Amino acid sequence: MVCSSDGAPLFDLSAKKSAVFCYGFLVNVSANERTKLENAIVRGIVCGPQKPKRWFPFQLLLNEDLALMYVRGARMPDASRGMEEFTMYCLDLFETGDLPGIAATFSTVESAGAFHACDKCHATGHKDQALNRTVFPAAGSFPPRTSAEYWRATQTVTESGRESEHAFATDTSAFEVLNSVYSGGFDVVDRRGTDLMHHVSGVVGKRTAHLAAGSRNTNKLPPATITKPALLKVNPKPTTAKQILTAKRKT
Amino acid sequence: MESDDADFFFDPELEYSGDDSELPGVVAAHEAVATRFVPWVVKRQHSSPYPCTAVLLSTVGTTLDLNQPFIAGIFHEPATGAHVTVGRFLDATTRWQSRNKISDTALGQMFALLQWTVPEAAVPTVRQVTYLVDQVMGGGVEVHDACPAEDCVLFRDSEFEGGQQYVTLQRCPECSASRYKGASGASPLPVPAGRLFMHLPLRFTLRNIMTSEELAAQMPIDLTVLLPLCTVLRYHSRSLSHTGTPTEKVARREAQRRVERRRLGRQACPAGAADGRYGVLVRRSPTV
Repeated sequence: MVCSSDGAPLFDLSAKKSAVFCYGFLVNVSANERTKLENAIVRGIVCGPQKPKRWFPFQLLLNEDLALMYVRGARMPDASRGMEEFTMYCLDLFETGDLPGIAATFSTVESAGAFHACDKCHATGHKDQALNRTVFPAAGSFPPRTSAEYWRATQTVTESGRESEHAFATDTSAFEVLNSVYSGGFDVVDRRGTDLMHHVSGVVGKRTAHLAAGSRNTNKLPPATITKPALLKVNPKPTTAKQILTAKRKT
Repeated sequence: MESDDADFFFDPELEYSGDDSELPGVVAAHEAVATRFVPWVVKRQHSSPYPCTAVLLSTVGTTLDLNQPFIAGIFHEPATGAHVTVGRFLDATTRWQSRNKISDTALGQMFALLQWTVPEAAVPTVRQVTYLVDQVMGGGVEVHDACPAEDCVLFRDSEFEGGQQYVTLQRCPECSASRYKGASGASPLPVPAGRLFMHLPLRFTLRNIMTSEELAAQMPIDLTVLLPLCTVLRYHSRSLSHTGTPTEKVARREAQRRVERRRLGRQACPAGAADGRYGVLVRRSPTV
């Protein structure tokens, strides 16, 4: 499953965001079907005129649900096999969303003006008094952040509640349950993607699903048209196996 | 010598507590740092893959047919997108109701007026609509209310042993805001003051998907897809998430050796080196 979070107005397009949606795509479903609107799985709707002040409890509930589907699974019938019962398990492959969605899901920063602007590397900025904004050194590369750092930060609780003065601008505590339940853990650095055009196409979710499960199209093929009638001719004297075996090699 | 397998697992015990806490320099730091562990173990009563009684919508008969034409007798062919069906009428009515903040009672009165005006129209009653919504949503949605002040917690019980067990609380455990509004004339029961979260558990939504034959035919696991995927994910997460990049891996190993060296430096060096801090470098196996 590829999970995604987004905000949308309910009932009235001119209104502000009135609800936050979390939905997922099943990657087992074929490529042309999985991202259709009717096949997206709505996992939760946060009602209200404003978005919630803290997203953590909502995300924790969604992640516990995912963890349960991995650990315990659920019994369900299969319509394609005469309603035969089986146990389905589910794995969270990827977390996508638009910028506010990912920022809410992982409690990352929404803007690039923070001390830790990037949630994937250790680029740290400082406040330039002349420009009155946070600037970053133009270095070639910064050391990347790893998932272990995130989990270490969730396990460490200091008196101030943060690891340092400029703590990592993130809180992945809600994903701790996935990390401890999944075999091999859940890599919060590599298993999330931000998609600026999320409303339009959902590029990251689509492509990740296609990479993970293949992009096989299962639309019915059009009826075959015979373009070479010569191919339909039947050879009156088919070559037998004996002929092939006893054929002399041309020199 | 330690095997490299020890590096494959991130061990917070190794990092934050242990023998190096005896060193005077790090004692103060360890006092400020508390380590918390949540045992993510499924509760015993929830460990069955049957989480609830199965509700199959196909066996539940509703008297309300959403594809029925709203005004019967005008056309006899099956309804298309151009026709007003009961479902489309309800869709438009619900939007109009939410936009203008109209109560269910007033909506029912409007339905009755419409039925009085157009007797041949198949106007549903509000009771029918409520029953339909209950049938569609029944067993599929769990509604939880959040802390009204700051959305600190959801008042719910986790199905894990170490999870949050807040369903019986009357106040938020973090900010102690009151969970309920008082009883009023409209509702004798206390009303949740915070925002509502409609959670659709995956077990229900996936079950609904598996009742569709076209989708269910695609859902059985393709092992040629899943096995490489699991291998890649497993290798990927083992190699990156628990040990970090190779640079960080080396740094972590060095830090670990530094800690071990400091710890051994306090002991008497068996090889009799002058400086105990380098004891680990000249240490020999006791059998030699």
